[in-house]
Amino acid sequence: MTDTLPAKAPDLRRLLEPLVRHGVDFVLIGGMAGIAHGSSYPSYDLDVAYARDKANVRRLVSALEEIEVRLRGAPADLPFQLDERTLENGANFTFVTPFGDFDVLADIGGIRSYRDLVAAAEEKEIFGLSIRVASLDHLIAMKGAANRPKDRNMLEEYIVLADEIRRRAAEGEKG
Amino acid sequence: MPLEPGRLLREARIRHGVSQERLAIRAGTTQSAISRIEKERVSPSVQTLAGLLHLLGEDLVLATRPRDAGIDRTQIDERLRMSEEDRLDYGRAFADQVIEMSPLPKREGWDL
Repeated sequence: MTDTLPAKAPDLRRLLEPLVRHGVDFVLIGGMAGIAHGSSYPSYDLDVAYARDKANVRRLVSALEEIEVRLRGAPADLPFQLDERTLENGANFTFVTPFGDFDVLADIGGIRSYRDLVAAAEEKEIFGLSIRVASLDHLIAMKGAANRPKDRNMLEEYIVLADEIRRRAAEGEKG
Repeated sequence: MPLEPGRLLREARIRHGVSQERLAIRAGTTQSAISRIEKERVSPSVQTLAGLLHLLGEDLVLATRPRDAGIDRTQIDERLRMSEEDRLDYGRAFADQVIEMSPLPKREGWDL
């Protein structure tokens, strides 16, 4: 449950560019992915799913160092060493950064595997970057698994959105 | 039409004046199995439900219809007219507006 808000919405360009430059294997998920598909719900953080192999975790650490992440919601005196071992010992990390709230997730409810997520993801050109965006079907599955009131509302919108996109594609094929 | 299969079966059975025991005999099952379905303790498959209703002289009719979840389709139409970048820029600006107007406490800079 969100009981505080960030000072600003995340700056996607500043957060995504280091990930791409460091060659991180990731997929954009969460509310921002929904917005990329056409959702109207606001999102206050940037969520990405990442591959858990060692080489990718190494690249992710490099990108996160550059982004200057710090743990969000953790006591100020809680030591946090940003390195491969820390990421390998955990799965999901929620960060605050100079560019907004940023979450990197490996354990995602509703998703069978990262490979499945990648297979269905859509490659989109966003801010001059080639970004894999989770499919609406996977976003629906994630919202269904999370099942908080806001997730249920977003799930309904995603279903209508997917329907509308399919309808338009069919019309485009016809006409 | 009642949404619960148990209620659907019970109403049909009573409408036809058939006891649970008699329906169980017709179906080659036990009265307690019929009772469990009617009390929603188990959820029958569509096939099972259709079979029981058939034994009461009724057909199960399944239908679907679009759900009205109150989603504003005009907003979807607006978003789909935009490029992905414009959607994300709009989303960010909208989130900033919500943050500004929200009564919830806000974190400043590095404050956790």
